[in-house]
Amino acid sequence: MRSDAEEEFAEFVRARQHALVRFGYLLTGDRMAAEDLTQTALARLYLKWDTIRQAGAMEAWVRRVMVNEHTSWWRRAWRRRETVDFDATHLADRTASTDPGPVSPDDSLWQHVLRLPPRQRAAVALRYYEDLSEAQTAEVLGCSIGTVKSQTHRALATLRSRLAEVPA
Amino acid sequence: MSPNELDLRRTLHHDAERIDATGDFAVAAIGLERRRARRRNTMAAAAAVTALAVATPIAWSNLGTDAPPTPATSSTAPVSPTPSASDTGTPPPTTEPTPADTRKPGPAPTADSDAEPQVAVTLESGPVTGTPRVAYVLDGVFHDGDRRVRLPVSTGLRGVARLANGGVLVHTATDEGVSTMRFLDASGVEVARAAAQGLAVNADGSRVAATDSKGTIRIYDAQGDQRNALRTGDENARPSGQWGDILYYVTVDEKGRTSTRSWDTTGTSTAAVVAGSFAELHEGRSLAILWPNQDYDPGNTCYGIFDLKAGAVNHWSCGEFAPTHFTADGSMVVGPNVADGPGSSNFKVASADDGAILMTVAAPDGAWSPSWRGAGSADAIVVVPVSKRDTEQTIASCSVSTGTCSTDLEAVSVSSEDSAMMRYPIMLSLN
Repeated sequence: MRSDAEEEFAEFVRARQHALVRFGYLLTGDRMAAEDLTQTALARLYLKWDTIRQAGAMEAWVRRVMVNEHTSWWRRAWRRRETVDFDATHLADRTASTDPGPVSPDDSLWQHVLRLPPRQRAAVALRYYEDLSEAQTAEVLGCSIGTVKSQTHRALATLRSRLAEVPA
Repeated sequence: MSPNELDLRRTLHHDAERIDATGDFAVAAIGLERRRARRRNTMAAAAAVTALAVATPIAWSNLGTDAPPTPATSSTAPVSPTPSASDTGTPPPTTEPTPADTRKPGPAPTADSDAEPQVAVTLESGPVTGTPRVAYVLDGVFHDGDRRVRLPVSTGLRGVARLANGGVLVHTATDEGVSTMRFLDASGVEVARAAAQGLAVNADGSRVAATDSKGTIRIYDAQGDQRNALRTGDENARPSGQWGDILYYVTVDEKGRTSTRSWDTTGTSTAAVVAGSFAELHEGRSLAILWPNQDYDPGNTCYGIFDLKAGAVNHWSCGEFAPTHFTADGSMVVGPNVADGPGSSNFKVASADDGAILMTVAAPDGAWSPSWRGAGSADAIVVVPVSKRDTEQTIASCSVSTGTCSTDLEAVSVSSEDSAMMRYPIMLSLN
């Protein structure tokens, strides 16, 4: 890569790395995993920088890679589950590796968000954290607007259902 | 309680905005991709034991009748190579699998200095002037000379190879990371299937070595029948290449350092060979390209030429060059100019005997896919360049003796999405 292109890449990353790691955190629920996921996506962006930069869609491309990569991670973890309860392990890992921090306005809601399937969680993060439109979300997820609608609808329905199961 | 969209938005913002990235991700991402690029090259090279015409008969199908090569070392201790007279003068990286492996080798990229003779060659776009010297896949069809075999898979193709019985080996991986190899007969019908996280095919396609996800290496014949197996105990173990009856494989420790071991596939005996990994073996010359454990340093990347018979490094070379393959006769090595990083537009050819740079090939525009091979006549280097800013792909060959490159296949288009996702229509055969 040319030195000027590499500098452009570095400028982009330094400007956006906090936002991307936060998005990664919403996908993974784990600070370290979020950083790993972000680095993986940025490394791939670096590989294709010239092409992606010309298209002017760097950030959407990175988020798309993050979603796809996280979905693959999740599937691999699920396949290995066998005798291990994935959700319990995942939540325990998160507890162990994230800062305690202040209590969320609704920590139980956050816990249930973490248990959504990865594509639903990605749709929720893009729509309600990144404030992307349905069309923009569809572009990042690589699916139709109708699929975005159904993913977010199912996610909200699941959250409502699970929270309703918890005794007040 | 029933969450509404406002609750959800508030919760997500509260949780996410406690998180900040730690460190400079630009530097980390560049370093990560370069390490991965090098690892990809290692694995790709390991999978392609040789695409070269070799003089040494393969003893696989004739066990005990051809003089089998001797393992590089039968001791359990890794070899500590002694720099030879052909050493470039750069302090060689340690080959002991100790923490010292992570130290950067010394400076002075002497093998790649401006003082070395170089012939810069530019690949020009133009009419097709040759014929591909290697088998390849284009749009799901395997091309081997005049022969065509339609592959039974359309996605996830990781590699293909010719088999000794006229069949084709197809290696695929799913998005979930499940890697599989299929043995096809000459008409393209699948006759066997097995797990293959990593694989190596010998020169004539009579033997295939593959690892599963638990680190067991299995040896198959061209029909896909298993001949032997070895439990390495390392799920990251990967076959590097085969030299007669000896299979070399790489293991990775918890710190990411690689070590090469040998397995006499007629039995169960194994031995430590050297720290680092073999990028490729040349059976005829009994040599291997050795990549030491080294921190990424694009200006001072080292490799060694390892003598499989002597169990020692003939010479080390350090500089802006990381060879991945031998040429057909084993006299030269070829690979990308690592200083260019991903999307490298240059590759180099160096002497396997002393590391001198013999040729630098530059693409006029756009990136090269990392898919060069030595093939055909002794000095022909076959490459698959992606040109015109990733919009086209073709096969070209370059000659050290003439200092020219020719286009061997009519260029095919690469869509912008395929380019972005690094999916290219042409893939060279592993042998």
